[in-house]
Amino acid sequence: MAETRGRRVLPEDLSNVEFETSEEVEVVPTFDNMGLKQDLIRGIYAYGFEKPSAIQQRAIRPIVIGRDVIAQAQSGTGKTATFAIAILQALDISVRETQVLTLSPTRELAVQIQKVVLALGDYLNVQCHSCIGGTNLGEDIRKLDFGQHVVSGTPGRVFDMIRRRTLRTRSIKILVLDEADEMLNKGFKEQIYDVYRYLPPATQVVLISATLPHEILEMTSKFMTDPVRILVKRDELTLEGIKQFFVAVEREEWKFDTLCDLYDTLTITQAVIFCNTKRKVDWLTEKMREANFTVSSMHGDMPQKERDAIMKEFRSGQYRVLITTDVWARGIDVQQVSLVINYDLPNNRELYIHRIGRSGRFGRKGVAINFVKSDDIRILRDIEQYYSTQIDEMPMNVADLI
Amino acid sequence: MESLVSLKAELQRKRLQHQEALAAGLPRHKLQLKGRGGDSNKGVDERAAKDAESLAEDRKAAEKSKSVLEQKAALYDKLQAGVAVLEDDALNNSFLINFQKKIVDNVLSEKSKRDQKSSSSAHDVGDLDDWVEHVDALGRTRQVRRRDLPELLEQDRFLSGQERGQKAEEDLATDEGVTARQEAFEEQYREKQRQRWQQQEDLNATKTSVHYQDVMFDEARTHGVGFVALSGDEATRAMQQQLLRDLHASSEAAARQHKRDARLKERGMAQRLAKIRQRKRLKQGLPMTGQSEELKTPPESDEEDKEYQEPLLPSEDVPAKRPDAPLREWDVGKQLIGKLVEPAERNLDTFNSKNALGGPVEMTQELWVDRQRSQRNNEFAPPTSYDTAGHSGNHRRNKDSKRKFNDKSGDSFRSDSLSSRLRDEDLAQRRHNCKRQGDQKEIVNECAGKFSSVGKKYETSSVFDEIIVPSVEKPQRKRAEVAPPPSLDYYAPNSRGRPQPRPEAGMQSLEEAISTGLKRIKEQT
Repeated sequence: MAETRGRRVLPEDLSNVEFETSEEVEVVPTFDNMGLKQDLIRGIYAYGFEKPSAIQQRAIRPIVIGRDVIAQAQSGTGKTATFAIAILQALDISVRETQVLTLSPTRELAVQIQKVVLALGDYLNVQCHSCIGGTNLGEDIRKLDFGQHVVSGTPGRVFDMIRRRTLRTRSIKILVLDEADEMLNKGFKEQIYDVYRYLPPATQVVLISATLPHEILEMTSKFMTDPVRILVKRDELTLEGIKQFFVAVEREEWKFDTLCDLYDTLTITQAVIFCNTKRKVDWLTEKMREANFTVSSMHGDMPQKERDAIMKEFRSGQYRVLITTDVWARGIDVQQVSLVINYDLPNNRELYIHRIGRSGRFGRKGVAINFVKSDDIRILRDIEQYYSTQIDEMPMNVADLI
Repeated sequence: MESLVSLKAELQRKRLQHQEALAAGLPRHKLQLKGRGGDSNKGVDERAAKDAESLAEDRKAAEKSKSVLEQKAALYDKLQAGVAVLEDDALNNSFLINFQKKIVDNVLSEKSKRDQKSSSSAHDVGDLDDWVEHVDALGRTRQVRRRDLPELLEQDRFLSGQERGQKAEEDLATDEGVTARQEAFEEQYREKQRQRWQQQEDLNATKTSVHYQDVMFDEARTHGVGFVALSGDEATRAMQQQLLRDLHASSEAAARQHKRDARLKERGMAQRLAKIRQRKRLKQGLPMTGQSEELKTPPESDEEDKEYQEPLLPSEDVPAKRPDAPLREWDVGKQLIGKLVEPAERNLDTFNSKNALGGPVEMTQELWVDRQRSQRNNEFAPPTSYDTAGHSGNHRRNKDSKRKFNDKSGDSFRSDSLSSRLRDEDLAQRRHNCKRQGDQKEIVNECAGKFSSVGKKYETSSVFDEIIVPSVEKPQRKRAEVAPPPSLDYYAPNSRGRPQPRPEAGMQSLEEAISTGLKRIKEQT
């Protein structure tokens, strides 16, 4: 105890400290041994989980007993379910007040988390509301008035609701930041701070992400108390199940022809094509449609209603190919996606991990194909080295790998 | 009529005659000649002699050509069979026929013939029970009895015919008109689907409880085998859940019963075995042993039962947070009253200290303004008259009052208190507040000193006046006061959005304000 306390007094400058997985982390090999509510276990099995993944074996317990947790795991290994299970266990269902607040960087992700919480807690009759921008304010207010156990939202709307006192924070026990590195990045950090200031002091905080750069870990001492860390070394961050390839093109225009050639492969299951800008998404979609290919597209400039409908259509399998921006890069889980195409290379290394992680969900196979111009190969090699992974030239039989 | 019959009879007789003649081996020609008459025609004989002569010549010519042709054929065969022409291009060119090509073609056709024979050897003669390899119309290879072949070939013909029909259909589908129609149909389907989702969403908006089924929206997701789509409707849902619970209980009871039976059986068996052993020992003249063993019940039985009733529970005694956990930097200044949390003023130092990357901090406009305001000399603050005017004035005065109230509270507030302790403290503070409105003491927050990164004395703010003691309002509030630093504004800066209308301090102050106003009006008049 004294030792841990001693460790807790962190030095001012953490830039040279290497963060590692806490020694106290225990592994619980089955859901049955986690001491979860019977109805929750029923929900877990019904949702399709049989054996907990590595992160679920390690992170659920510490969250349930009330520790602050920083959890990192590879994409598609059940991080969302990890905290969803833990918060459902920690909830007092008989009290219909907001006890858990989860914040996500995109509206689609917030809605997805709501769905997962409702699914896992189906037998508990849990109430979870997605509090996101671009929707009807009145409806939000009404829903929150009914009382919600869990609120999953984006920072802007959540803060708005707190300020209006529609979202009462007095019973909040847990704050979850999904995609924590993104949430604590420059663009979001202040909004998170604003929300945090309204929460009871010493609220339990849970950070979740596939990527947790050092500078993010450094700042966690500002709002977390002696957190349990479950981390993954960056050379173990890419999944074996996701095969990565590149196609070298000499000129930008050739990317389009390559994509058309690949179309049949894309439609084997479902595929996501990433561009770096909204305009390019529009352009590529238009061009694909002109060439008589069926594609769907989504980006942040579309009205929320449209975004929502497109998500539903893609989830229902109505469309097989989705062209989108980085709004889709993090966290979105569609089981059938097995192919990701980076039409443009991502702007940073973290995004690469998140983008290719849209395929190969929970143990399924996946393929990522990067379109690279000659000067991009250098970037790709850098990514390859950084994550100690392998990105080969695309073979002819790529369809067999999907 | 009679003549006809006799004619027929005559004819029959002639025919018989003729047949007899043939059977006797008489040359027909002669017979005919004889039949015509015995006299000869000289011209005819001459011509016949000429004919015979030319016939002999013809035969000679024929024989010659035949021999030449035979020679030619021999050469042809020799050339075709041998390798001479293959090796010698000049020789090959000397013939009008390209023997080289012929040889190659021959080899190829023979090979393909052999292949065909092996695949569908319908024309092969052999034992009907022989196994032959057969490739059907769909390209599947398998071993079949020869006698089954005709039937299979018939089937193949049928299959390939059908395939052709399918192809024709596909051709039709590629027709543009059809594609367009299909697209229109899909579009229509999507439109309907969207409408259905919209209806579901509208329904969700009015429901007090939303469940998984309500937000599924036809997602193509594989669930576990135990997945039951519980209804979104409350009544049905409750029924379904009850049914599931009952089923679960009954299956659990059955499992327990089964296990108990098995255990009883095992115990009985063990006892019988023990008895047999004892008997053996008696027979061998050894003394009885292990009486005590026999009396013992199997130890696992009770524990097992217990396990069924109580599933493994986690050890809850692990302390969630240590009671002496230090204050978090972002928690500094927060205050918890009646478990209702109020944010403190933005702690500027939090952003000042350093940014995550260690570089210069990027500030928002509001934050910058806030900081500048907090550092400004009060003499350069906006005139106090601003305070009384309008919405923001209200706002600020309210906060001012709050600050004063805090000053008065006179109790050093422990921000690092744990939630478990909070209620007690809260109560204590309330009592304290009510009792000691008069005497003022300066707040010393011991937490402030603890952290060098915070490093400043801060003021706790943000107590809900209306919640704690509505009557704390002070009469001197109506006087103009020095504006508090706007940094105290814990409502996010105005540019962020419309500030919330806050409930006015209390009825008392309102009455007082009205009465002083009336008094002043009276004085003026």
